[in-house]
Amino acid sequence: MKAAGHFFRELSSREEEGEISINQHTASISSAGDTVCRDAKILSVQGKKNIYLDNGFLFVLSKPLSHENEVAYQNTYQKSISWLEIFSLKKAIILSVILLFGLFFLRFLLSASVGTLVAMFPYKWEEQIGKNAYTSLSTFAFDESNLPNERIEKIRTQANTIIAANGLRRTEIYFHESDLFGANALAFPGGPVVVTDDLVKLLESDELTLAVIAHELAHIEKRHSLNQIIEVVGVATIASVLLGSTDSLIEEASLVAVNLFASANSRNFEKEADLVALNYLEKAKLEPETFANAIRKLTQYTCEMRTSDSIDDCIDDTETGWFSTHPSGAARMQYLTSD
Amino acid sequence: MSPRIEPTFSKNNRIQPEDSNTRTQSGAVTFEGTAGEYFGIWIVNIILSIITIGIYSAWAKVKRETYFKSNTYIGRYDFGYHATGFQIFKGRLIAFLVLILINIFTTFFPLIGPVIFLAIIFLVPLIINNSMRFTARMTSYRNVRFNWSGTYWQSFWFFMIAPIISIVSLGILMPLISKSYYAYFARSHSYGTSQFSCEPSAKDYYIAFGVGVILPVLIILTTIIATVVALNLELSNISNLNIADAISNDVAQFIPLAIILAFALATSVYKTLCRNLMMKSLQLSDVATFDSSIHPIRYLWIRITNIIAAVFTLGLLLPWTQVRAHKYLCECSKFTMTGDIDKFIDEATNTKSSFGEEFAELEGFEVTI
Repeated sequence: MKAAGHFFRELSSREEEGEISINQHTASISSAGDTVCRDAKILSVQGKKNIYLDNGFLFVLSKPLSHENEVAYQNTYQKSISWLEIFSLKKAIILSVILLFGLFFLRFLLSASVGTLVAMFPYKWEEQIGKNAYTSLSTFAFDESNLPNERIEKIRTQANTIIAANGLRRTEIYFHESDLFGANALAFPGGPVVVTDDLVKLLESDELTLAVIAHELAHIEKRHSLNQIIEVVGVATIASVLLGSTDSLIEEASLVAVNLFASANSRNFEKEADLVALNYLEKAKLEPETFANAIRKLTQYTCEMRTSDSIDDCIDDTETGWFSTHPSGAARMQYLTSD
Repeated sequence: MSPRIEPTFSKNNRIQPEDSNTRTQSGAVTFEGTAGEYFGIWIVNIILSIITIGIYSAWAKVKRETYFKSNTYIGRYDFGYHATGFQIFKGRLIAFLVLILINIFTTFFPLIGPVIFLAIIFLVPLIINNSMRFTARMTSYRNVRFNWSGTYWQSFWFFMIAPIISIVSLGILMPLISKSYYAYFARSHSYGTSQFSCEPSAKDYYIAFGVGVILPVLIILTTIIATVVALNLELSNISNLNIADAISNDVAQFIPLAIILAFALATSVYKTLCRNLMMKSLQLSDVATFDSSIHPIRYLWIRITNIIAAVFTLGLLLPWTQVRAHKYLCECSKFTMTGDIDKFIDEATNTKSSFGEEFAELEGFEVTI
């Protein structure tokens, strides 16, 4: 094939008139009857008219190549992709359906395979991650507990009874003073469980503290942290593949969407841990109602800290915020006290 | 017989024809791609990226960049993109492996976390410089490639230290820093061996900061506060307190989100104004000057409606949104060529790959304006 146009020599922006003759995957350029370069390999054809050669020359055709001419320089694989890329309404609809179906299938596959992926992850590694996270947090978030040693030991012994009665993995229970977490209990992946002094003081009764510990043990046994990490990373990956990173506002919007998903997922795990905790308490011959009482007290404490609502309305509020990681206190009370 | 030369290759010739005597040429940068054409490239890219668990995304990037660059015209000529999928894949693979190693180390040996964090802080300018150089070197215009010559310590200052100073100074120094940053961004780029120049004025950046950041933030925050106060007053008159509190709670949970959104929008407006200022003082040798007249509110409107369109079509309108935004940016960017564009030359560089070169092929860390 021969065609007219302009050419640029290697490393130069100087435009010269010329003619290109293309033979298979090589090209020669001539100008005013003289050969400028011969049998240079075609590196790429861009925008249907810019032919880049391996000797650094660029030839710009005066008329764009037809699709047939363009694909003539491509291998079979490139030709198939080029064919798919050419827009037609029918093709667009079919590819869109394939894409959406593929994305939903991926999402389904992710949910279905999370259990297997978690099961494949060694317990020892998970325990190591939990210990390391606890060590890191200890340096700035936890102080030594001010609770009497006898009380701590008594709660620990009873917690070990729950662990033994339910055949759970052995988990350390630590007590700490913490300004950062306030009245709270935390389960690290694979253990330990940390209970703050404020929580023990708030709940007053050790039975209620044990009920909260049972909830945290359920998180560890069900490996909720790992589940959450795998699901959120999976969804974030699907979102980033689909949305790309071409606009910072779209990136931020997808981040908010992933956070919404993570919060909803977290609420489901909390509910599961609540219900599993009831079984643990029952098997350890403790009163399952104690957990509902603990949640009631915690809800009241949280509502007292909020100034915008009346306390009674706050306690009865079954609505949960979209970004909330836990179900609302009233919602938890509903499923904890129903048969 | 001498070949016939077409006067233009542009489908929509929106530029003024070249004056053969003075060689003066001016007009808007044009984008001749269409959403339909790009849709085909985009959807095939995504499907193949999913099927190949992300491996194809490197080749997908080449397709995307090539499409946008080869359809963006300054005068009669478009841009070229020269990276190969394999180059990008190698860079991404290295970055991926490094990230995995960092995560393993920080998970199992948390005490070395601060050391790794410190190392990353000092590595970031190096990575950004290499990435910027890669992106610039892979882009050409009239067969001459662009280049990036930012130095390590300048990048360290602009990307690591200056943002902290901007925050610590409560934004007072931000316009000054923005001015220096945009000038650095422009001057560190070159076309072949010719450096771009840029001499913006600090006063303009302070005006942009006032109009683009302080004013919108004040308006949005005042609106939020007024809405909350008005809602509370109104709700206190509602007899059914459950409904009142429920509405009040729903509003309250979105206040932090609204504040973040307000800052994101203000940032968008400010960045647009800064880009305009940089382009107005951008010059290439004695040959080309540039101008930009992006309307910050109109551009913001395009970006917000793009998000809405993308969300409501499950992402299927993303190609349209990208083409729409790019087209608008091009339309608002002007150029004037008064000198000899033929005189530019590039320097020969060794592009053969080595281990060190692979780090230089890291892409995706470039900073955009």
